[in-house]
Amino acid sequence: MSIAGCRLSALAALVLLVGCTPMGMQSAPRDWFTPFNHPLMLTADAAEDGGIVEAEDFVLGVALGGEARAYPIDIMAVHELGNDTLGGTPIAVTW
Amino acid sequence: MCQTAIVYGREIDRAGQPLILEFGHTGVLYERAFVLYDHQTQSLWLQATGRAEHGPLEGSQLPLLPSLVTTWEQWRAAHPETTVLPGERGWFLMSFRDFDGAAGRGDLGLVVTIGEAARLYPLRAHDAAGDAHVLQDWIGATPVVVFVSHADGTAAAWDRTVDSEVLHFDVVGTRLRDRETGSLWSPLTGFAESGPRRGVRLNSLAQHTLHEDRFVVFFPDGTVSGTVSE
Repeated sequence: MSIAGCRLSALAALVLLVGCTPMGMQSAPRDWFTPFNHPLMLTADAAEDGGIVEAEDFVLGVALGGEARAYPIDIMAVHELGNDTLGGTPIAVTW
Repeated sequence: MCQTAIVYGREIDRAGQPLILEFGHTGVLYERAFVLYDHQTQSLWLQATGRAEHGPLEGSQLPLLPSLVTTWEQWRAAHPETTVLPGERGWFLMSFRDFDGAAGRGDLGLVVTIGEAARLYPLRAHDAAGDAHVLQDWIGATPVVVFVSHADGTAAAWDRTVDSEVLHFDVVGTRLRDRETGSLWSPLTGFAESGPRRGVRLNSLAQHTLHEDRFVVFFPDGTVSGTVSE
């Protein structure tokens, strides 16, 4: 997440009652950042045509088991977390 | 969050049985990294390390996997068959690029983990070394090459052993050239694209970006690289 997001989390911590958690500070409700779960992925052409990614956008790239997948950073910033499978391997993608 | 991109395997060994976990977001921040929970056991996991710190799976470690933050243009060129996560951009967020002008990295480092060993390569130190830059290094008994491109913020590390031979690399344009054979390699895919080694691929290493000041928090036994090279 960007610095603005970090500040947002800190703000949320002030607004919300600080819950009693086993570790850390409750800065947002559980799954307020909605993880993505096994979405249907786009082809590179479809992603470009749909305006999902542009040339200079940053992506988190993963290559595994002969497959490659790009997770655009601006989209990861919305979810912070996702459950996926790539090249036969179950993976968690975090930002 | 906060520019820490990490990919883990979701399968762990639990008492000799494979267990595939599905993760959720606790909304809890710990030392500026978020805390995950798994739906199967409700254990709490630190995003920055992939280790369960609380709950039935406390002490378990998720395998860290190789990943790379680069531009879409470069990623697609390196992996033409790539697929893409769909979704909406966060309207309330600054982009990665806005964070620090051109490179967008601030005080980020590249963390490379091999087994229990973790080593930080501060990207800012490499920026001073020029545009694109390589560092030959060792992590324990593993010879490592680290590539850093100041222009677009890409950083990647590879095992530089091929057929028991330890290679040494220089940057040539957007490629790496090994001094042993003169073959040209892609720093993004680890593939030799031309020369005597063509078709050979370097072994990938688990790696992710992390803010320098977080490294000592999450990897207290880790080491930090200088820019000295062979």
